[in-house]
Amino acid sequence: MKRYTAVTSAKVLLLCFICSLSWSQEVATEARVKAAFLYKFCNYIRWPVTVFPDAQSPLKIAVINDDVMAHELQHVVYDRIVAGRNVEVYSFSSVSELEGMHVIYVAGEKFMQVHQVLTLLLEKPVLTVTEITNGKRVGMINFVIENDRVRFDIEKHYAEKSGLKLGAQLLSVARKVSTSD
Amino acid sequence: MDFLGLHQANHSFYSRRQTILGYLLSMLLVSSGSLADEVAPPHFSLADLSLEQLANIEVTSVARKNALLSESPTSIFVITQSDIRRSGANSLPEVLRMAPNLQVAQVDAYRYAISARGFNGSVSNKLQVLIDGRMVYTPLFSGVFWDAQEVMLEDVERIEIISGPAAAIWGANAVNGVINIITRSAGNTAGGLISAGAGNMEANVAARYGNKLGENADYRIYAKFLNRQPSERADGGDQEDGWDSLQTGFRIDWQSGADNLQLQGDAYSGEIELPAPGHRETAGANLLLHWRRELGVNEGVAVSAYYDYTSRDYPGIFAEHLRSYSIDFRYHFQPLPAHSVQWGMDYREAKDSINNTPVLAFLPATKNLSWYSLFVQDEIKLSEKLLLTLDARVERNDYSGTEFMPAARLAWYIDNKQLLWGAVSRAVRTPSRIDSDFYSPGLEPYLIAGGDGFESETAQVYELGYRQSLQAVNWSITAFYAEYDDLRTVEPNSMGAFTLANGLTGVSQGIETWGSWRLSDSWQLNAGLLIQQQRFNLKSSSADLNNGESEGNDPSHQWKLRSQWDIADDKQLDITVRRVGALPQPEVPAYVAVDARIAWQWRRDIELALTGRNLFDGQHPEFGTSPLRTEVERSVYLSIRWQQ
Repeated sequence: MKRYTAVTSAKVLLLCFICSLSWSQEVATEARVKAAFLYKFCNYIRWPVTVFPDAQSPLKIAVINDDVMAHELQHVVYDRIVAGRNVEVYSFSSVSELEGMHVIYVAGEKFMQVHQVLTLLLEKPVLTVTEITNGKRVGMINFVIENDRVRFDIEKHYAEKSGLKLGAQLLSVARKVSTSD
Repeated sequence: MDFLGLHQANHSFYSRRQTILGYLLSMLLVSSGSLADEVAPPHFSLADLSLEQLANIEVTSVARKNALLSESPTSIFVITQSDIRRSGANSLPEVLRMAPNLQVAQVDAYRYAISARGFNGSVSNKLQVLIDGRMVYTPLFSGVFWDAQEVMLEDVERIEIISGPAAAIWGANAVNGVINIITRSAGNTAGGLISAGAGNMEANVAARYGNKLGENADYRIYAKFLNRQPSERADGGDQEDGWDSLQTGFRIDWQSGADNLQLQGDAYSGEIELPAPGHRETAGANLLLHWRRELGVNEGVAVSAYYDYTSRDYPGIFAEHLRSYSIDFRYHFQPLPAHSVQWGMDYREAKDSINNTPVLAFLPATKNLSWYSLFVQDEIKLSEKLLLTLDARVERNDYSGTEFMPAARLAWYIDNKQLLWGAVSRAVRTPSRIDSDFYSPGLEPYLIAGGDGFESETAQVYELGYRQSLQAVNWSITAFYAEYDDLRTVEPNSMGAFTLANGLTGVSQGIETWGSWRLSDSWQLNAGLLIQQQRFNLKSSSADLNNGESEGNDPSHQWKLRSQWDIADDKQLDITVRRVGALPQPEVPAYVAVDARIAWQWRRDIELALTGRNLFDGQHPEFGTSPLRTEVERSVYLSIRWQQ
């Protein structure tokens, strides 16, 4: 009886092992935290009413260059509502079709691409988020890793020029808030 | 290590475990197929955390492969830095009162009885307590001298309190729970901080300074002094147990590429007043080195080593000097996409020397103890929603030989808001000096004559938990059932004296539940409830002197409510109400305590706070035998904190 149980357990274990091989790796915590931040930011930002066609139209977030992040964000916003609006996530591999987006997150440090996006959206009411570690040109919000934690800096003047209003709580959690160039 | 011996010793346990395990696994296999095509994240959503909480998640922590706590399938409660600050507490035991899954009772001015899931006493012995990875329970009695374990509370990152066994990762003695105190890295405590306060029961002053140390390193140094007024008995008599303590320490964190190095140390000295001339003295120092390297996204290695010295002199009763050394190696990697494996080994040594007195003796008076152990844990992702964790620790100690502590844990992430989990574990409380080498009086003829042959106490624990995390509400519930065997008893021997033995069995069951409700951005309510029952049975061979009643003195329930309200941007009001049910033996009446703290951020860098404890209650006892026991009094405390 004992032997039987042992053999069965071993078989079951083996089966579990094999069936579990097909599942993908976990999303890195950093990507998950950033995705959660992207969603949270939306709760502390007021867009001019004109950017939404009507009261029901969704809030659109575009993720450029990071499918995993887009997928993660999709999960985060699933059945969540920001200021009465559903949230939609779009994933792009290049800068195109950004019309109608309310948040644009550019992953990675492709300077040309970041430059292109920021130039395109200059003074438009679109929240730009980047993760540039050593460059001058960053989005209105820029992620930085400090002491193993995801923090963010805010370029308040960019946001204000574009007509976005940033909540006090958002500003208070930011690592650094710049108010001029 | 004697692995064959282990097999034999645990024969009956082993075969039974395999059956349970087999059953559990086959259930999994059946259900995982049908879930395979559904897409859902295998974890809780971080989006329910606040901006501050998100900004405080460590994203590259490798050492103990910290998973996100909200996702871990255990009964875990976390006290954050902000909770500590808002509680107004000035010592670790007072901070721990916030945890709904801990029982905390003040015994006198410097002693506390702290335990999880019952078995509480001033020498309770089934908790693992770690400060930055350093074990602080003493091999003298497997419990903690709380008066010797302080930290700079302002530098604590968080305190994780796990109720239930967690021996594989945290080590033996984690039978009923783990208290894991984690301080901030030096880079997170830059600048100066001074906090000071005084009230009718205590006075404290603490200072810290942190700065950069070259390009990649940071350091901090701190010092704190505390003074406690003597406690009072019910009749108003002074217990003459006032004490004060001075502690200082440092921490350096160095980071270069994938390497993290952490060096820290503390030294302290305390003095406790006595009714007789003289005083009790405590002193100690420790040094800890922790190195970790990330080898990839899911791979890392960590080594910790520490040295710890403590001494305690109770004139006329006993004096102890203890030196402990420990080295610990951990490695984690992902051999296959669905397997997250962690394994490690550690070695620990303790050398003590005890000055025995006519009152009591530990024989031999000097002893070298060593422990070595090996552990492995595999987290198997059975599907997007199911995570099976299998782990085990094998530990060898000088008293009971080799012990085996396995556990199986299954987590079902129903959706990104709900987690249902279950666990089966075996935990072991290995013998300590007091179980085997304790003699009283200190000279022959002895009344209590050691416990030669004292075996480990064991627990077989079953847990079922559920956790839900919604936009504004987070809550968790855990039901536990535990069977204990070989608990300590005092048995008469043929010489007309007594020896310590393992004559008691017990069953403990209960429910732990807590939750928080964020009513608005400025107001949060927290609640916690513990309902439990412990039953003990003497074995037929036992004639226990204490009639099986010495293992713990526990309330059948306790609850607490905590309101955290930001009245304005610069003002906070915190109110806590907690009730602890009556203790049976020795009898302690139930009590309700109301604590409140109001804080005002006067300037950007200065906060003033007024804390009141036991506001509506002149005094109440929390532990011990009437009429000589201490009663906890109403107290008021005014504090100021300057932070650069």
